[in-house]
Amino acid sequence: MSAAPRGRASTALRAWRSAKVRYSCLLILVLLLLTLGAGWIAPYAHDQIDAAAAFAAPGQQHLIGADALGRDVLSRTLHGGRMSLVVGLLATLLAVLLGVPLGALAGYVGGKVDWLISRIIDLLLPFPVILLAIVTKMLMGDGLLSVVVALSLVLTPFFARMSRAKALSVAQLPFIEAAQGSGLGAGRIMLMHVLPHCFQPVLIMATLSVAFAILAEASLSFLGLGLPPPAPSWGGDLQASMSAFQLAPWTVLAPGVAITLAVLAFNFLGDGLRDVFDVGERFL
Amino acid sequence: MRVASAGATLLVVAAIVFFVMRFVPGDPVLNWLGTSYEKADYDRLRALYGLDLPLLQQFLIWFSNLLQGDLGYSVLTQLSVSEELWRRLPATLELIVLALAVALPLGIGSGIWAAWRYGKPADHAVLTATLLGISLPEFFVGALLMLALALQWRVFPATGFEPFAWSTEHFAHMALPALALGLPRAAVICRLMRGSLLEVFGRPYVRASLAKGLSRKATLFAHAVRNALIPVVTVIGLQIGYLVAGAVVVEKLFVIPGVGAYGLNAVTARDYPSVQGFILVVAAIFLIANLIVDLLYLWLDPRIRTGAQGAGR
Repeated sequence: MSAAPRGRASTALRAWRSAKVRYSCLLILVLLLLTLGAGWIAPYAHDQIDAAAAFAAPGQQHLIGADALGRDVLSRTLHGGRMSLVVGLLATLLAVLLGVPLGALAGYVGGKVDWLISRIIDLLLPFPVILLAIVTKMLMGDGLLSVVVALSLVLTPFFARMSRAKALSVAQLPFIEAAQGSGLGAGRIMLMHVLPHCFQPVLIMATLSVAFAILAEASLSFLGLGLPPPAPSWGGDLQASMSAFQLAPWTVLAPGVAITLAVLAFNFLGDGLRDVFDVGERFL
Repeated sequence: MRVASAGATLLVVAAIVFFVMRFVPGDPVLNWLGTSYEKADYDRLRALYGLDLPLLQQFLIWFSNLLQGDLGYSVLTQLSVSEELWRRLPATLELIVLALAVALPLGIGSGIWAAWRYGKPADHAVLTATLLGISLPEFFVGALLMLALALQWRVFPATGFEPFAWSTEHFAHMALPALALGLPRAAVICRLMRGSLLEVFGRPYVRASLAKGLSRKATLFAHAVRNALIPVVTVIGLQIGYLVAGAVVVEKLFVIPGVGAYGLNAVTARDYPSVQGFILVVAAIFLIANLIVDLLYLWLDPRIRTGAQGAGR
């Protein structure tokens, strides 16, 4: 009944032909393997203190040096990345699961439902991440979850707004009328005929959202609003090392470069997908 | 009308903030007193901060004080929250304004240039640079600038703060923070300006202008740029949220005693009156800035001003 599966397979093939998509996927895969496998790959434990190695320069013992407590910078960067990538992916997943159905509902049902959902979107859309993060931190305490909730609350309205617009335009098409005529309920029509049309723009936006979430998580950790130390995090480690920047620049450069690479990979993938799909919309 | 709605939003935010803060788990007074305390001290503190009153009455007192510009007293320093925030506000506002002064000309200018040279090496160079720009966090941009321009070549001071004055001393201290906050925004604006301008190039009035004999350059500046700016201005409104959040980050990196530093201290110390004040001030900056963007929008797009339905969009 639905042409979506066939369409999706050919879309994946089309996307794979783009060099941008291939390279960024490769980079993301490498980053995921390195950070999620940090427990096996990292030469040291992320919290292994060694006073003798304080600010050790990059070399045989520590590939990219050690920090003020003599902890291996490479190991901390790999372990810290796990937190960043998990937060980025989790926050985006939550935002998609919450935002897309909400927006599609508003666009397809219309009327009072649409009015209410649209007002909530308008209110949340431009809100600074930092305020939400402070509120969730105070309500939920220091933890991974409060950061994930704050970021997904910031991202949700973007997905809702997009799927609402998509649902509005799809609802006008003749095959929806045909589906209604054949006696399908509103829920089924939304699930089988409206939501599949959101797939491509949602995929692009989700990719860019992961980039945004990784960047935002780094900023929150930098501000001390993320996981408290000694948990390794890119933003937090960079902040802690700023006072020794001149003495041991590698302690600042390693997490900074890691953040940039991760964000760049997802931005690049989003860019590539946008070129391939050509959905002609501006995001974020 | 717009002013009234921004004011109403701010009051709603204030009410939400008040009640959310009351739902924070744990007794704030116990938090401040620690583990050993006298029952009398506990009661005295609760009464001092009005925490023994019914919730609704607490809210009314807080709200009427708020309307008079009084945000209460910091638990940490016993100083007036509004006076402290008022004292710190200029540094934060200046940082945001200077960052915009970096981001707007650079972003719009390079966006126009890239669109003008569409598909040529200059366009690719700008696209690559901006992709990097949107992928760098403000604090890493700041750290790199600090490493290059302050520690290596000593062009600007690394950190430290000079109160506002029309002096080179003051602006030298603000240069790196403004660049750190402004450059990533410039990258976002540039990409948007380029895309928007390329879209406008295909519109009928651009072709009409070329057909009536105007040069490409004259068409670009007389018709295309102004129209291409409209969606960019909308997005600048959304960018202000990032600017405000980024200002807090940059203040921390460069040790600038602004509103952000105050808010962060308050959050760490669980100093609720100060946190409330901080959130309200940030929300107010944000709403006022969006109001300015709305007015700019009216000036740029006469179709909105007159209520006419545009055929173009």
